[in-house]
Amino acid sequence: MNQNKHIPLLQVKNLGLTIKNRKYLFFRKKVEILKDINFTLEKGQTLVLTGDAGSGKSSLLHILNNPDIPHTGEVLVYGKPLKDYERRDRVGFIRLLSSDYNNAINPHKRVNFILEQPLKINTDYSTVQRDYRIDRILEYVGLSSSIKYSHPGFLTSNQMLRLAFARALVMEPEILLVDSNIEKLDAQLRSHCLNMLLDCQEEKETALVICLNDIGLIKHIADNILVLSQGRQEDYGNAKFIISKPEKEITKRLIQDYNNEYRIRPER
Amino acid sequence: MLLDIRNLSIQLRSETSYIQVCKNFDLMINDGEICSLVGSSGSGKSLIINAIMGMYGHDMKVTMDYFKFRDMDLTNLSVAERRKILSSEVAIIFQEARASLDPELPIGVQMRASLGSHCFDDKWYRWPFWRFRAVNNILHKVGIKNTKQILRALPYQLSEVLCQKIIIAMALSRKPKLLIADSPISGMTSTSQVQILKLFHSYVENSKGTMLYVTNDLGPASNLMDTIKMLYCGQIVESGPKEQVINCPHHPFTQSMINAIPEFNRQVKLKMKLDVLKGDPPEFTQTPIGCPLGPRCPHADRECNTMPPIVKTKNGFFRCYYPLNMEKDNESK
Repeated sequence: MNQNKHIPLLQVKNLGLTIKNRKYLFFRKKVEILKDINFTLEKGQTLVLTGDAGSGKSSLLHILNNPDIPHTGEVLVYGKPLKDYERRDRVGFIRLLSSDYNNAINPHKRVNFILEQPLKINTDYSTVQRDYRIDRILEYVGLSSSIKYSHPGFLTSNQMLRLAFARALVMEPEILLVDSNIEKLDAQLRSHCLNMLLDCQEEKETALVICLNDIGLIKHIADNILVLSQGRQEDYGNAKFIISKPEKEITKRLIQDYNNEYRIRPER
Repeated sequence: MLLDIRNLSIQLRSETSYIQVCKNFDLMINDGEICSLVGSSGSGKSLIINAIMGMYGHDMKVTMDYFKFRDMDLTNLSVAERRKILSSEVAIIFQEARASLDPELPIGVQMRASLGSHCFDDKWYRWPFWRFRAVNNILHKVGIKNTKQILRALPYQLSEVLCQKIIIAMALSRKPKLLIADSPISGMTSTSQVQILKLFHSYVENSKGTMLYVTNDLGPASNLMDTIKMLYCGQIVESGPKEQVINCPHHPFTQSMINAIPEFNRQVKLKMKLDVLKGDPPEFTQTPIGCPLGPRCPHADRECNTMPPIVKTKNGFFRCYYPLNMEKDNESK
């Protein structure tokens, strides 16, 4: 047990990804999308990825979620490379929450099918056990179990968001990846989503990796922050410290642009 | 007065009958004003824009008492005639940028096609290739650097944010009298948000334009707006100048929209829960009787079963029986 304490939950070492760009007959060029990225993530912590458009935030998320394989460096979970795990175990560690629920959820399948399929593929549960698991996850998220037999088209936007949460949490992951579509939701739904994420972190000690651009939201939820620029890791550290005293130019510019003249704050 | 609409009502056709989506909607926009419609998703913002521009089919029934645009009375014209008049003077930025571009044509061809010959205002000998120059200029203003590559590309090769910028560039290059923007800066980084907002500001200041800014978030562009209209279930619940609405909101819905932004509320500490209204926004088939916020409102009482009357304030109005922050309003008087 003592050894386990020193091994972090997620560790990323010297991560790199290159793409070969080929054009005409002889023109070939290599583009480095990610280079030399190092960070660690402990249980129950939040890491926020920020940066300009095209800086490699979502490429990094794709590597962590493992549809993409990095060319250099490695991703370690509990000190063991991610690619050495079997898929069944890997899925238990890391899940993606896609908050763009309208496009991410198949409208032709019933809710029961959407939630049952990952359990069917990745576990040895019997039908009764699967049913029990789905009921429990629906209860945790705050949906009634009668919703299982309806199509997602009949749900309201609030319920769809809860369904997206339920799908991400059925395998009880220890790391939850959240894409940057949170910011496109309207103010009410967005704070609803953040509340659920904070709830989940408090109760189950899940670690979160979130893509965000809004500095106001980052201040509220982040423990650590990772600033990317053109695939390079520019700044990494405690969020409160970095935002109050930015040193790198990119961080300074991001914060300066956020506190612009078009934003007013109410007098309280 | 640039645009004047009175008593707009929209009905959507269902299988058996018509459903009332929006009623008693008034919209008045002065010259050089930035008017904003703020509401949560599903409150009928985009439907109202479609109804104003006449972009609907047989499944939507629109009636209005009065429609005036720049001294022209368009009340009794048919939809097609009205659209013909409005199309040359009004430009719209749609919500889904990639969907509103043609998937089969390169970006450059689309942008040049949108520039009519009436957009040309220069010396006569500058006529050759003026469209190419105009497109390049406006793309630089929006913040796109490698214009050569982008003009040759097809929409599916570009990211969503780039498509948004291209749509904004297309709308501004026509120099419209009225610009309707439907959540134009959602999902952008703060750097490009500022760039686009500056562009809107200079469009209103320098080329004497007018804007109708539709959004679902009060945060990023609140100082750009002149008047704010809060929309809930197809009904305006509060309206007024921006300082009044943000500093002392009277309606509970406005208060909740402000509280949902963690920076606006100083009492919120790190990782604390944000307060939201309980429940979902109702569907149009099941709107509650009386005040639409009724079942979700924390201050609701028996009286809220009837429609609350309009209460006028200094420069606006609100609809609520139990308004908030009334002491603040009295102090300022």
